[in-house]
Amino acid sequence: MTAHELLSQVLPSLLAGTSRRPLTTSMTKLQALSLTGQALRLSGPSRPTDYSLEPEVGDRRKVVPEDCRRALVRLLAGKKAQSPESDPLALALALTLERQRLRLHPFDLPRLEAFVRVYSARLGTQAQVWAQRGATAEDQRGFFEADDLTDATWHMAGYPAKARYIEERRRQDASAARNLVQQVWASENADGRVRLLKAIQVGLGNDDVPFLESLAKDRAPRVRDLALRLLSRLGRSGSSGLEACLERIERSQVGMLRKRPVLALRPPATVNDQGLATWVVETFGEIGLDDLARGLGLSAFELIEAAQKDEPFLFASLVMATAEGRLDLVKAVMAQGLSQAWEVLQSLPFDLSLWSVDNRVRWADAVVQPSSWGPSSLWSLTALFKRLESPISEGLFDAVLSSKAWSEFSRDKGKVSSETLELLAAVCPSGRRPRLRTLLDNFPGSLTTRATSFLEILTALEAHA
Amino acid sequence: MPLSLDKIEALAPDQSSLDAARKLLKSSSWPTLAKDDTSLVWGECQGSGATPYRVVISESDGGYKCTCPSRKFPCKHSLALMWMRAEAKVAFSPSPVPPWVTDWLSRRRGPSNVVENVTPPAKSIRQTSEPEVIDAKAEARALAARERNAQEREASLLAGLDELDLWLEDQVDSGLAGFVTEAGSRCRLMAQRLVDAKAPGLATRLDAFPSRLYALPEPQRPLAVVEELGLFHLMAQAYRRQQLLSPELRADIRLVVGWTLTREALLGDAAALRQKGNWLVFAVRNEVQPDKLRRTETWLMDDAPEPHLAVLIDFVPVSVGTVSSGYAIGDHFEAELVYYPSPLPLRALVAQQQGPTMSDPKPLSTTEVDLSEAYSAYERALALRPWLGDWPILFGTARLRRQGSTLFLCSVAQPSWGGLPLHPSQNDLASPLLSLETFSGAGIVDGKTVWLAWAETSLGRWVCS
Repeated sequence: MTAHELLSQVLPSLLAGTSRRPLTTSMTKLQALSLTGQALRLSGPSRPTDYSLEPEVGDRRKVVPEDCRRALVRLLAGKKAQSPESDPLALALALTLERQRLRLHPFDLPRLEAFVRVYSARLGTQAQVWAQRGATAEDQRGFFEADDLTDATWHMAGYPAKARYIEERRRQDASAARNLVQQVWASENADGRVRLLKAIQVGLGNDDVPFLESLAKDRAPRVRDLALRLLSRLGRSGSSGLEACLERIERSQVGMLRKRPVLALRPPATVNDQGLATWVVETFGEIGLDDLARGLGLSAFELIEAAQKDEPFLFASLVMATAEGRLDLVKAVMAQGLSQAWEVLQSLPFDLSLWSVDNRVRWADAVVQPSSWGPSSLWSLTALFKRLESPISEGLFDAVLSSKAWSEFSRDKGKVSSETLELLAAVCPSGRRPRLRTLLDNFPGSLTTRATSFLEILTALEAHA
Repeated sequence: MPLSLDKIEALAPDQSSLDAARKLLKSSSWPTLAKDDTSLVWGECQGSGATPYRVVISESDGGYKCTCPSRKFPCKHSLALMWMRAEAKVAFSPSPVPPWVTDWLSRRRGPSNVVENVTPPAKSIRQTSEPEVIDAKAEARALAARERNAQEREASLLAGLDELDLWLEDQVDSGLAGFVTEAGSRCRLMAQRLVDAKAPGLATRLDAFPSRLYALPEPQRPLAVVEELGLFHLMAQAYRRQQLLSPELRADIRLVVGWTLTREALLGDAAALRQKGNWLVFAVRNEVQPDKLRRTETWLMDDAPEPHLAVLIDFVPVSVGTVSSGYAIGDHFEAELVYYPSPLPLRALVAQQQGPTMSDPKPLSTTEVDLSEAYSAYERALALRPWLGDWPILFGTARLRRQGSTLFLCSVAQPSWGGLPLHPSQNDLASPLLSLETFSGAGIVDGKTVWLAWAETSLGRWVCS
């Protein structure tokens, strides 16, 4: 029998069962089975000739240098591979790749699946395509580098890139940016509208009032609330936020020859010490410091000086100044001696995303005071790093290493962990890497492997830049 | 911690470990003995497995690691390396630290700890003995016993094959389309019978069939049953008629059924095919078999103009835990291989390695043939060895395409030839190759899919690891 005859005449009987469909050949059942099986094997798998067209994905970033690839993959695909969002070294590398406009080698994308999935927006268009390869067509977003976006194409990017684009345009031309947002407003879902409205906060001004007032009837409560808060920041009615804040302020005067105002915060009786900071952020977080000062007949700087003896009020002033992006006011608050501000703030929902990266570092310099830290406060560097999205300044790094917290921590061999050293490496500014390397030499190699490898990768990446 | 014989005595778990280590104190057993300029010492020791064991010692803190599956720590290989180092009778070449040593360093948790408060058994290097003198009468008795056992086993095997035929007939009677839903239980029962009949090779293959079957797309499963069960009858018939087969095919079918050929017997066979060359490891694969053995395949090719190919296969009990292969992808070494007898020699052992294993990158030397022509070599091999399993192919030109969710390795020279389905487990890892027009490489064909091992591309080397 030929192979064709075996497949057409014998195979059906084998599949159906020879008891139901006897063989019509003189072969035994097992001979028929063997020969048919071999005929199938020799015919091989079916080989299609029509295939899908793969989309071309352009990515202008340079690929990570070859001599860095292996160390990069080993660092990011190791034991912490499954939770890159909690690995400061993973965030640090993503920020570095973004800053240096580098992308992962395409062959390494599958090996670094978890890392790419979490940080794809920072890793270039190829990484974004890779991260979204399983998404439905409705959930996929356009793949654009932030630098490539224009007024004509910005709305096609993913939300992080769109929001950043609008923030940047607001700094250049607030009205033009607002017009761009208004053009696409109706086609955005609630999440998108909230994110774009947050971006409008950059350069907020009176010209934005008509647009904000038009949002009073937006179908999403979150959008309506945010618009009201922004209006109240502009001193417009429609929000009772400012009035509610003013009601909580006790005003008095001191001085013989020259009366100076003294301000103190009086929180509701229902707010205890543990909940005070949260209440402050919730109540004052969306109020402008200038507006509050105006309501009290003072300038912002006069308000800060008047609150110098009231820590809760100083803290509230810090929250307001931070929300508005006012580094000058932040410094003025901290100059009044507010202590442990960072220790309180780090676990609260405050936003630095409207600040440029450089100003965030300056904010940290003003607010974070390692000299007052206990040993457990070292871990707050994690929260700080996530908010700064940058290494800390050299001055702040030196302050951390000079702190009592660090010296107690590093003396206690039982306390030192690889995670602490990795955190230090992640926040370390480039000018302090030699100092950190020397410090790492004092610890067992098993604790410093990742941190050391990370520093070597950074050095190699910068050498190629 | 400079090594000394006293320290090695103290480290050894028992006397038998020292006895075993003494037998390894020959530099001929160690194709690699090296050190760096700090305190690392490493070597490769040819053991009973197909691939050498890799051993590394850190003299500074007493750490050690060996890739052998022994549950004694330190194992005889580690002890032997320390012993040679302490006696300083054998030269250790200064060498750059290879990647596998770097990987061990990066994974170390700290220095090896000495178990305290346990009185170790008495052990002494002085008491290790030289090999015993052979008793001729005892040897003769053992030989006779072995021959008796072999005859009993042959009889048992043939009876087992008769039972297999009955089982196959039952399946054919009831219909192979219906076999799919009960493949697990049916194969398990018959596999047990084959184990009892002392045909472990057939038993393992039958036991593993259901998982291979369910990995296929559903429409392909009934035909796969016909192929595989047909093959079992073919193998049974070949075994029964082995006297009519060529010596190579006879030896091959005996190995397939489950007779073993020891390393010593193969090395002592003057007729065994030997091949010297510079061998490159182009693939390493691990699989846990139903019999709870972890099977490690190390695929090799040499640098001849028409490359010779080989596979080293090691089996380690799963209970031992994960044990890394002696070789990594990209390793290359000078060695003489000896092949197991077969009409298509592929499985081999390292008879003698000359020189250390190198880890520096070396390009794959593929032929110029297109994928379509390379696959023809597989088809010719199938004709020569009907129960051919996995077979390596080398190709000069191919590309990856997609149809639906399946990737295909396609011919470039003959688009009408189509493509071979890629093994589904590689979809993610191989996806980056979709953007490339053509590449050369190596793969392993199993008759249904191709498992891509290595590709030389315009973006550099891609390997499956």
